[in-house]
Amino acid sequence: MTSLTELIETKRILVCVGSGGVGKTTTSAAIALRAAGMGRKVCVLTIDPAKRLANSMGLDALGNKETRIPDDRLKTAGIARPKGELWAMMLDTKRTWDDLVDRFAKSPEQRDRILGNRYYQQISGALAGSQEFMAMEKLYELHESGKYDLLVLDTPPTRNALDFLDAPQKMMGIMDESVIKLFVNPSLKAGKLGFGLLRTSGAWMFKVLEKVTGFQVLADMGEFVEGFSGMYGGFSERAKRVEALLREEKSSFILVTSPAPSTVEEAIYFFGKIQEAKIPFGGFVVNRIHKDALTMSGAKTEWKKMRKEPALFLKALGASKRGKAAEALAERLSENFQAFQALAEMDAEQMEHLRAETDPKQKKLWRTVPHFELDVHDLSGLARVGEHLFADGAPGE
Amino acid sequence: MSGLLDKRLLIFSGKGGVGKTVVSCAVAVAAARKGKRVLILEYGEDERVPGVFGAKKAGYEGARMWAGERKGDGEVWSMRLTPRDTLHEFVIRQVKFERVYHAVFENRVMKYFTTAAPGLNELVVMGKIENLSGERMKKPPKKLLKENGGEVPPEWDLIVFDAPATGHGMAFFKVPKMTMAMVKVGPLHRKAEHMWELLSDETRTSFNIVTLAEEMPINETIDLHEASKQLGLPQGTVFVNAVYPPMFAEEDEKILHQLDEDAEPLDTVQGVIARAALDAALTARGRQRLHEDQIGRLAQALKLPRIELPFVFRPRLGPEEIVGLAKELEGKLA
Repeated sequence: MTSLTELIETKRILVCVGSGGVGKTTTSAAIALRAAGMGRKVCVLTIDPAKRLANSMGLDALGNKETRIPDDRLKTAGIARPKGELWAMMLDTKRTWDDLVDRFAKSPEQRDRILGNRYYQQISGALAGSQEFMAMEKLYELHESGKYDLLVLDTPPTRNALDFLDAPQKMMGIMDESVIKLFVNPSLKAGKLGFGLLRTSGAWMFKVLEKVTGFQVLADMGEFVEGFSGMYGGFSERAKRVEALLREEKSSFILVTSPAPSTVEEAIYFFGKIQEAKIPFGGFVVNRIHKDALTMSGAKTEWKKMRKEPALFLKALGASKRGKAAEALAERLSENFQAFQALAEMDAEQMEHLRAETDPKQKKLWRTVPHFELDVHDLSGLARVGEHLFADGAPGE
Repeated sequence: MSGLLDKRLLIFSGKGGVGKTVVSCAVAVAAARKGKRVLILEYGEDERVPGVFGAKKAGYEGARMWAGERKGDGEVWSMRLTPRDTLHEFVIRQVKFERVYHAVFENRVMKYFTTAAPGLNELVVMGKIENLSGERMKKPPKKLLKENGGEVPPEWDLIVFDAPATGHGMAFFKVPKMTMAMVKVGPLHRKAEHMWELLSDETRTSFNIVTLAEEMPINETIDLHEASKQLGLPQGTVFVNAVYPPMFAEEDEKILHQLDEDAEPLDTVQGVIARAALDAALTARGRQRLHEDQIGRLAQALKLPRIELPFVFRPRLGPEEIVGLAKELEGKLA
C-alpha cells in the first residue's frame, strides 16, 4: 500500500487505533472527510469527540444513529460540490447493547428480563471492554447494512491498547457455555448454594468468591446468564463474524500515534500485537510532528554560527532597518527557534526509533502531520490535516 | 481550608495524554521538598513513574524514586497497583490460603467472572489505597513519636494517586457507594464505608484534574468536574499543564511581520533560517494565544483554584525537569 488514497479507494473498513490523546478522532474524521470529497459514501463512527468538532459536523446529540453532514458544511472544508456523502455517528455503548439484546431476544419478556437485570445494567454501561466490543458490534451492523462504501472507526482510548483487540473474546468469554452451565441452576438463582451443589466442582468457588467480595451479584448474574439462554448462539456467532470481518482484506488498521516517547512505546507494543493477531495493517499516522526547518544544505552549520554571533542573525533578519525594538526581539526569536529545533530533533529521534522497531525495511505506509499552531476543531481544520495525510509520495516525509 | 500538600490523598484525573503522571510526580516532589514521605500510586499494567525518575520499576512492592538532598527533605516512593496483585492480596487476607486463591481466581472459568464482575477490580484497588492511607510506621523514630504525642505516625504523609483517564477514572470512585448499595451489611459494607469516608473527606482528600489548555481536554475537564462534584468528591485544583510561555507579546506581532519582509531572500541559507525563526515565533505566539483563550474559557466555566505549569521544551522529562516543575509549583501551592 503506498497511500491513504489507495486505502480509501480499495477498503471497506478503516479502523484507527492508538493510545489516548494522539489525535485518533481527528485522523478518523479527516480521512472520512477526504473520502467523501473523493466520491465515496462514508460514515465515521466516533466515540465522544470534542464538542466543537461534533457541532461542526452537525452532531449535536449522542443519538447512536448516523447523521449526514450537510453539503453546505462541507463547503467550509473547501469541498464545493462533494461527490460522495459524509455521515457521522457517536457511539452510545449502552444503547448498542440494548439493541443487540433486542435483536436476539426470543420474546419481549426475555428482552425485558435482561434489560431490567442489575448485572446486565452494570456490564452494559460501565464494564471496561464493553465499549470496545460495542464499537465493533456497531461497525459490523453498519457494514452488514450495506449502506456505506466505507466505514471509518475511531476506537475508544485505552491505556492498554490490547484491550481493544481482546474485547470481543473477553466479552464472549462471559457467556461461554461452561460458565452458563455453572450458573444455570435454580439454587444459584435463588442466591443460595444448595447442599447437593456444594459437592459439584464450581459451586464452592462461588462460595469463596461471595465470601471474599460479598457481592450479591451472583444471583443477578445467574438470572442474567439464564436470561441469555437460547440467545447465546446468536451472540457468539456474531462475535466470531465481527472478528472475521476485521481480518478480511477489505479491512485495514491504521495505527495513530504522536512523537511523545510514552506514546511511541505504546505504538511499538501495539504494532507487535497487530502482527501477532494477523490483522491487516494499513499504515502509521504520526501526529503533531515538529518539522526540522533547517534541511537545506549548510543551514544547520550556519545556524550554529548565528547562535554564536548574534550579529549574523540580526543581519539575516534585516533587523537593523527596524531599530532597537527589532534587535531586542531578535534575542527572543533566537531562543524560541532554538527550542523549536530541539523539539524537531527530538521528534525525529522518536520517529527513527519507532521506524527501527516496527518497519526497519521501510515497507509500510507512513504519514506525518505537523503540530499546528492551533487546535483542530472544525471541518476546515480537518481538511488541513487531510492535506498532510494525503500528500502522497515517498513513504513518510 | 488547608493547602493541597497538607492533605493525605491527592487524586489526579483527566483526559489521556495531558500529563497526569508528570503533574503527579511534580506535586509529589514538591511535597517531599516540604519534608513529607510521599507515595505515588499508579494503576494498570504499565509503569510510567519510574521512567520519569530514571529509577527501576517499582512494582507492587514499591520502590523509592527520589530523595531530597537538603536537610529535612522527604522522599518520594512509587507503587504500581495491578488488579491482579491487589486482588491476590485482598483474597489472601480473607481466605488465608494460597491454594484456595489459585483454585478460585486462577481458574479459567472463574477468571471470566472476575474480569466481568462489575467493579471488582476497582473495589480491591480502592481498598488497597484506603489501607495504605491508614498504614502506620513500623519502626517510628523516637523523636517522631514524641513530636506526635506518642502516637505512631502514618507510614505515608501523602498519597498521590495517578488515576486512570477520564472515562475509566470515574468508575473507580463510584465503586464504594455502589458496593454499599449492593452489600447492605457485613465486613465488605464497612470496608466500602471506610473508603467512601476517606474519598469524601475534604480535610484528607482532594480530587484534582489535569488538563492541557486545548479544546478537547478542557471540555473533558468541565465534564469531569461536574461528574465528580455530583458524586461528592472534594474538589481540588485544576492543573493546566504545558502552557506556552509568554515569549512574544501582541506588539511583537507587527515587528515579526515587518521582519518577514526585510529578511534575506529565501534562496539563501540566511533567508531560510530567518523565515524559519519568524515562523517559529508566530507559531509560539499562536499557541500562546490559544492557551490564553482556553484558560479564559476554563476560568469562566469552573470556579476552582487553577495552577498553570509551563511547557517544557524537552522530550523526555527526567528528575531534573520534575524538580524544576516542583519548584515552580511551590509558590503556587500555598
